[in-house]
Amino acid sequence: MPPLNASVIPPPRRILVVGVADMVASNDPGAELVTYSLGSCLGIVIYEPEKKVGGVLHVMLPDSKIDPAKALHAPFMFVDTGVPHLFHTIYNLGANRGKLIIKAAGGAQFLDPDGIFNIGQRNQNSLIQLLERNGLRLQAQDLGGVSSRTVRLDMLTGKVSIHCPGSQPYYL
Amino acid sequence: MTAKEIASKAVILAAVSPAALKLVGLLEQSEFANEEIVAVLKHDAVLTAKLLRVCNSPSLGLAETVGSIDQAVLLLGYQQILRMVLALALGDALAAPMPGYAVEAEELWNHSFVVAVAAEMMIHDSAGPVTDPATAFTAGLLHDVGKMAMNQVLTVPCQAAVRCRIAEHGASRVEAEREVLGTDHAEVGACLLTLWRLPEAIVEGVANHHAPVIEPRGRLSPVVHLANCLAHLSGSAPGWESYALKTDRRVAAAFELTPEKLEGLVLRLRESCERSQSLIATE
Repeated sequence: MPPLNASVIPPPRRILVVGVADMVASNDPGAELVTYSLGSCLGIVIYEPEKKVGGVLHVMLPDSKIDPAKALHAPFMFVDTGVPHLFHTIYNLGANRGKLIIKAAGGAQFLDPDGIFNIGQRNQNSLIQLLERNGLRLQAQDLGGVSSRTVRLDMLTGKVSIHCPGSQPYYL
Repeated sequence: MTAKEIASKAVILAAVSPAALKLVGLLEQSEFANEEIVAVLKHDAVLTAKLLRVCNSPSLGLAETVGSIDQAVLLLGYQQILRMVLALALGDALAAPMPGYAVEAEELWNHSFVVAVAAEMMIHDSAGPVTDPATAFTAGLLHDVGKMAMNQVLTVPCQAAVRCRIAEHGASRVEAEREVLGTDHAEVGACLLTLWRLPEAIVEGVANHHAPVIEPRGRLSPVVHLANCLAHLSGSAPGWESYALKTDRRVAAAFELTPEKLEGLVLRLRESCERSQSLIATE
């Protein structure tokens, strides 16, 4: 006779989708946060393992200076306005600053020797500089390259998985 | 296989309404009357019925009920009718999944639509070449139609060989396709459009969207090239190794692009797409 718990089916995960220029934070360990099709955009993931609090941000452009009015009602469009919002939201959910795990993926780049089209690289630079100014750094990253990526954060374990079209998913 | 052989075997060839293609063909004329549009559309009863359903959908918000094609053309004008007809005629075909490129259902249609909106947007940029917005929109919408045909010959070993050339030799996607298959999706797409007898300007825009023709000025390919880049940068880049695309510095110069200007265009494109979605809704 099989053990009793063999027939217990775990409840379905609650999938919370993070759109382009959007952010979702949660303290629900049954949730999974997912953002699709990160090309030159960046997916920034923060997780605090003790409180099981986390968030995912999908930013598109490096600097809000090109349209400050837009940044007021769409702060998640830009690295420099979206990242502070993500941190504040995570802190409001009770995360401990000293225990945050920060990861990032995306920032794909065209084959562009002149760099004009490479918003992906400028997004990466903007993020790294912002974190450095605040004494923070990325624990893991999967940045650049020529593939778009889908990023998932498992709120129970804090594991971050990445899936590129036509390839096997892997953990970051 | 040659581009022509691949194009002629494409399933999509039989699926597209001849009336829709004739409507695109009108773009070649400098002027045409509403009666000509109506005459073309009346040859396809199914398309007409679908078009009237869209015209009367709440998302369009027309104050009066549209009961005939004549009334629809009069109320909405050629450009809007063309958008709707293209969405109805090509939407299903371009929305099909393409396992050869790891493109899921709806992804190619969504990407094509964003490129179409971007191409139309860039036509209004005075620094760029000049043509009419409807032609630019159509070329953008059809720029990757060749992938539908290429998908049928991209076997698993071919995909592996193409992706290997991108990963190990830094090739662009079209360069890798040419090395492995002897042709690329832009050339195959142009062959398809030639078989459909679409206007030369649109065929040129599709054929050269990865190798834009700057001189003589006025060609569509630089516009479609830039529109494709903008679509990628605004988050629409389906399939594997979708950024393995060589950007053209001559296009950057022709449109006087700077990093800041490019980022501003990406913002504008997102806003334009949000506005346009309701106008092209097919349900």
